[in-house]
Amino acid sequence: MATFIIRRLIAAILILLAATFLVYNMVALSGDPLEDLRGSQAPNVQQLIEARIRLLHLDVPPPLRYFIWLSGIGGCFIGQCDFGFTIQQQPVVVLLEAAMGQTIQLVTISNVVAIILGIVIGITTALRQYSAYDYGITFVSFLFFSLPIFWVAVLLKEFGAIGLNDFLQDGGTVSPVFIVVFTVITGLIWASLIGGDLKRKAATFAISGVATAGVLVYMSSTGWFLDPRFRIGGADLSIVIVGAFMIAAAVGVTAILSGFKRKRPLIIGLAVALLGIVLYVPLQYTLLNPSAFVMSIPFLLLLAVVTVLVGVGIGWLFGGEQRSQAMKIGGWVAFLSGFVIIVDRIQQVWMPYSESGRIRGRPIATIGATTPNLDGSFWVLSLDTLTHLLLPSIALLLISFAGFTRYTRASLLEVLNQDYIRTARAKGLTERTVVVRHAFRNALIPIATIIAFDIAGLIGGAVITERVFGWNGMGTLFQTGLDRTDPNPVMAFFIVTGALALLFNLIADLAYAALDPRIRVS
Amino acid sequence: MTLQTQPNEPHATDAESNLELKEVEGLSQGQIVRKRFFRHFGAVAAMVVLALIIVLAFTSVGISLWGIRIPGWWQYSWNDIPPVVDGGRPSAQHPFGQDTVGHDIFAVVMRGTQQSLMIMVIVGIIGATIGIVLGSLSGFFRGWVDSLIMRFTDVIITIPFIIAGAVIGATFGNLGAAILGLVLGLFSWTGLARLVRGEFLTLREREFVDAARVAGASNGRIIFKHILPNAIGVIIVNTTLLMAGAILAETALSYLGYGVRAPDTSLGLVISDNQTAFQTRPWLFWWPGLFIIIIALCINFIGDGLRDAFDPRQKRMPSERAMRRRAKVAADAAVLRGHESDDPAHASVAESVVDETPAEAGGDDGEPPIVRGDDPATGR
Amino acid sequence: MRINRFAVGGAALAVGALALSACTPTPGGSGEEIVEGSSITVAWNQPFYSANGNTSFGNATANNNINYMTYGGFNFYDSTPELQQDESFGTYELLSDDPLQVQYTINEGVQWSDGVAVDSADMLLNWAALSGFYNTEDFDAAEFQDPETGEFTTEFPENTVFFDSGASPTEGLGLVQEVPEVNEDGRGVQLNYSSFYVDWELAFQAGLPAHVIGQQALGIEDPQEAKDAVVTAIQDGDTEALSAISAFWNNGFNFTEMPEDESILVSSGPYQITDFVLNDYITLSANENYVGDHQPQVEQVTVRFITDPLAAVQALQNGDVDVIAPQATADVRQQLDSLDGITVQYGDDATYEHVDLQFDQSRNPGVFSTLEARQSFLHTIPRQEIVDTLIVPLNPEATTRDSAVFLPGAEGYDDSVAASGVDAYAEVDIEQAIALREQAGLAEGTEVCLLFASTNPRRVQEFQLMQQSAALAGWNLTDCSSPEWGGLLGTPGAYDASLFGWQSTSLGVAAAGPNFSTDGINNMSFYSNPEMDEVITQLNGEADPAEQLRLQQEIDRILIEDAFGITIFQFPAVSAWSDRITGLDPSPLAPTIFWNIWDWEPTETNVTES
Repeated sequence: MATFIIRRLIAAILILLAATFLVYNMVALSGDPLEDLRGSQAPNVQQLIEARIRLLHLDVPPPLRYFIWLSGIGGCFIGQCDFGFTIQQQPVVVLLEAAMGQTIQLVTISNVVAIILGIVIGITTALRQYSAYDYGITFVSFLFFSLPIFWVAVLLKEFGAIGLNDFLQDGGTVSPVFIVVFTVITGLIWASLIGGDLKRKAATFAISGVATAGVLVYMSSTGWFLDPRFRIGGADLSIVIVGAFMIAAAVGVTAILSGFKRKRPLIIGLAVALLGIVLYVPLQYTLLNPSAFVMSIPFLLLLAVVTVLVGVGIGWLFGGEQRSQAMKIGGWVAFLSGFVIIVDRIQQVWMPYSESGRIRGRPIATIGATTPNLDGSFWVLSLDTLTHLLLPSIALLLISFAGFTRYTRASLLEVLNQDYIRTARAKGLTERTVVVRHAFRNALIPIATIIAFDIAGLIGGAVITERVFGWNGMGTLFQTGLDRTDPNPVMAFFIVTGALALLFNLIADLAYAALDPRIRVS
Repeated sequence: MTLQTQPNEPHATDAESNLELKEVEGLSQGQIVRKRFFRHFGAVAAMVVLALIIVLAFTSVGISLWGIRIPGWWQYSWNDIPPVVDGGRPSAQHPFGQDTVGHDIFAVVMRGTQQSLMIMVIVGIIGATIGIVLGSLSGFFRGWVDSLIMRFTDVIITIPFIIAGAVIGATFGNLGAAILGLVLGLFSWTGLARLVRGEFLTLREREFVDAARVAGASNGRIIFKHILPNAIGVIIVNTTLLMAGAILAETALSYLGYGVRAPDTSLGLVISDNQTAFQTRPWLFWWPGLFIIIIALCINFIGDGLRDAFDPRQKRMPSERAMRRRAKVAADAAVLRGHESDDPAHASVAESVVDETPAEAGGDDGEPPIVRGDDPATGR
Repeated sequence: MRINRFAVGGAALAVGALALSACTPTPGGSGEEIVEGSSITVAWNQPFYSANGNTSFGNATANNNINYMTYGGFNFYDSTPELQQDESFGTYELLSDDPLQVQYTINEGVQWSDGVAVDSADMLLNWAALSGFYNTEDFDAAEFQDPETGEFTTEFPENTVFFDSGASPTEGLGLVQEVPEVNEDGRGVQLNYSSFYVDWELAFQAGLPAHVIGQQALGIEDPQEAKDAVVTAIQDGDTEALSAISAFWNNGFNFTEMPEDESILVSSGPYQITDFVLNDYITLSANENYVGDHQPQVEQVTVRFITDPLAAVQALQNGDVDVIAPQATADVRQQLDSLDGITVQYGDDATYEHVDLQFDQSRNPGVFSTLEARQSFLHTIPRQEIVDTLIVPLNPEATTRDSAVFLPGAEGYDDSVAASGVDAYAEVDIEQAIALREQAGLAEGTEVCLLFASTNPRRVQEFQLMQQSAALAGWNLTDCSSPEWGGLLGTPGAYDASLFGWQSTSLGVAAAGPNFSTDGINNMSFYSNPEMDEVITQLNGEADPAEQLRLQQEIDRILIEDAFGITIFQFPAVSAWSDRITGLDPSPLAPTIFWNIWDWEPTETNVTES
């Protein structure tokens, strides 16, 4: 195992060397780095040109200049990274540090959401193959696949940001037409998804339609979109909703992971959910209270780990014969409950945030990664980041979502046609067991590879998305560098994306081995 | 929700596979693929639409290649500058409207479509050729040839397509669409090369290859006559997807300013030039966008249809519902045929079921007919 | 029993989770979650990167805009544009024309934001820097740049002084080759030029904080001592100290995010930098120690860096920014016009579009070597049509620009236009063009290859219009466009005619020289006319404004006579702002919208609840 990883890493470094050599020369030969100066009217233009030639070693031909650059990068191994300077005489390493955070944030969020959505929808389409739902999703995902990303981004800004903000500014009431259309669509999706005969479909349609319409009417009439809280007579009773979500999570997780045949897993799931409900109020006064505790991202992650461990622990303690299932259920329910609490906490600051003088009732931003000079608690700043991330992430995830859906569907269908699935069915396993235990795990194998490959594509997409949304991430670094024939920032961009791509390929290989016992890493 | 295992389920399965055999009996590989492909409604529709677009794009504004200019039936050319009518809004004279200077947007979009299609085809051809050659060499000869080619592929694969495209576009974009497509093609073969190599690695171990080798066939003959035809499915399907990717890559590059440059035009460039017109003169934004989407959508659907045609493994899985129905059919058949239970009997029954519902046959792809035939009976 | 176990376990875990939190359980109100402050946000297309706009490195509009707000000055251009003096900062007085002597005095009480007075020390340092007087002769800065990074090594070798201000001994402060005298009260300096310099009024400002440079470069803590040390070093020509001072002057004010040592942010203008996020935004807050007339009314001005014009418009529409000055296009304008609560102003930019013809070294050899050929081609250029189609939609008052020297509206423009004979080219004259072409002995279909920026849609459209018109007169205008057009300018054999813009940064009269004199640095056309050279030499030595105008008009006339090329239009500029702010009055010259930052006034809608 270790030798495999080391060998792969060495190969990766050699590949990266060759690729950087190629890209460096391509960039260096793509234009004239002195262009802007040649058109300059400055009296000292000759000195400027000479200064730039010295700064960027333009007197050295590109293939050799690459090695000057490389020796700077080589410094990383002794803790002295030198990515060189831009034409603007800024040290690239500083630019890179600032840019990397934003881009990685964007790519990670959109990738995670795309994976979750893509896999869930892919599975449902595979299980309902050739239903109207399947055809609909197939068409929609092909459509997403065919959309130019910048084209989508312009539309998103227009309707997603300006439109939505106008809606919020106008009081956040949903028009009846929208409610009807949305209800019908939701009902149709559910009916097609649940399936069954005509009568059952009609029932599903009616129930889901009424539920959707009810929720929408409630939200619209109580101004939920302006202040996403559940209030009765002025008292904030959002704990009811939070609790309902936690219990739903417990039931849902149990249904998927163990079914209801045995009672114990369900009880464990509900117990964990109950613990979450019990902790909800005390948490508001302690960890989630900015004046009592200064929250940070690392601590939040730590908290997530602790939460999951607590859930797993409950499963381990009380799981009995179904201990392994109970532990899984406990962990998932704990995680989801924690997630619900955090979402609720962020919802609490929605109104103060959007009514603040910096936001002025238009919370969805079209530009940038944060609101300048916004000062507030961790939750306000998190919300600010989220409102800025919303549109670029959607633009970015649409395309990878389409891919994941298609691949999951194809992969699961292929697995479901294997003989061992027939065998599993034949021995009388429930459909849930067949899909969750036997099929899904194997269907994941090819998806792991796709996800790894997709990272490189996503970063490419991020270049465009960042440009449309005015982010100053890696894409900007790349583009301004390329426009000025300035290889150093371009290479900084490329070395990060190239390394990421190779890293994810390695992870994919390892995941392959972990998921598929037939493959051994050696 | 539990499955009731039927004693005669195995028969149903046998019937199914026999059916499939029956269906393709006496047909060549090409015929089978064609048959399956034409059953894929989306793919066929996409093919028709794409053909229409190609005809429209090339006949309307004519062709201009190497200085030879064949005019089309449309009254304007993409570089004519007629006077601006009504602020450039779409009118009878200019159905897609006009831009600031007065260019007829229909003509411009048609020319852009030509260019985008050309880039797509060139990328497809170059990418496929290099991918096939390198992939087959690598997979067939293995050893150091394989290592060398695969390491080279790794190097190219590390460079994201859009990055390579941008850098190339910054250098060659002003040389016109054909050159851009050519150079893009040089960076787009990696995925295909890997897949072809994979196919070759498996296929070269197969008996028919051994047989050919024993019969004294040269390496070239084995590659071209014996292995490649068997890998054609993978190649065609992935080339289509490559082409769909190419058309979007071109638009993205043109948007970033690294693609086709004026005075030449492409769909991406038209959008990019006019993106500030999105609210004020929407026709400058929607028409080219619509054509990009339609072309990419068509290619994707065709690719999907081809994949299903070459690789029918994704037929409907025998879910519990399907199995119950199949069991029912089998049971009915058994009743009909007087409890005969040998395979041909089942097959012929199922076949007759298929014949009853020919209208439905176009909608589904590579699906065992027995299930389809069963649907009306259960009131789906 | 089982239930009991669950209950006990659950309770135990709840206690454990509570123990984990281990914090003071004081409930907090949600009001504490946001800290408020009001501000105006302006979108600009390039990030700020240097607080010293006088180095060859830092001289960029993006920097000068910000520096304009943070450094007080003796004069500035208003929106007319006319040079205005700010007498609340200081005064200057022309003591004599010949020899040129100017006295600069800073008002009493004018101070840096850290409370230290702005005085002659700062001016003395600025002179030392801009004149290059102490720059070590034959010093090749290259040798002391880090070969890896190109940065100047912080310590120049002993006794080496190098101020990277691009100083030239033949112009500007380079002509002041003696140490200025300092007034007794320490608030004034007198500059003695060695020969007349026509743009002397634009040559000198108060410069950077000498005390900060003294503190940083010489390691002296006390501001007054540091200041004195700088003065002494300059007056004594102490090369050791000046070496350190020049090094810090060159590099110390370059930063792309909030610097660790904020002392370099001291300001003498209405605003000071209080926040700066790399490539995202820079925030300026009112300078409490500012005593001049330009008292700001907006507490905080944030400049956000947004490159894409459409994005800027959408950001304005969405309320993300309050003021924008995007690159103008007809669509930007139309979109802006359709917005509610937005004030839009159209005007001119200081850049003008023009066509130049290659007198020699053209791509098609000799095509423009005859006057008739040049005139014929210029007659085909549809200037009015270009303006009507491309510029009027943006600026309904736009007309052709008819002078290569004067900014439209500036003094002397109208007279020059009337006298130069440019009206011959007011309309396309195909007949005349054909006749002249035939006179020049050029066949129908003669090729003219036009160089322009292929990446600029407007130039592409201009090319298309020109091409159509030229074809009517038998010229075959072909496309020599390139994204690297700037690099191709002046390249022998690359093109026959070029289409691009020159930008004026001031109304100074010395700018014409490099463009039109024989072998001038900006003369890309291989143009040479002894008469022109003489006029330019005269102009550069002329003190009398009336005579200056006459000579400038003479330049315009000779250019038309020689059919050097033709000017087409002034770049249109657009700026727009929301109803949260009033008082903007954009100027064509840099710093465009910012020139009257002190007049910007927040409206009622800008008042925020806290």
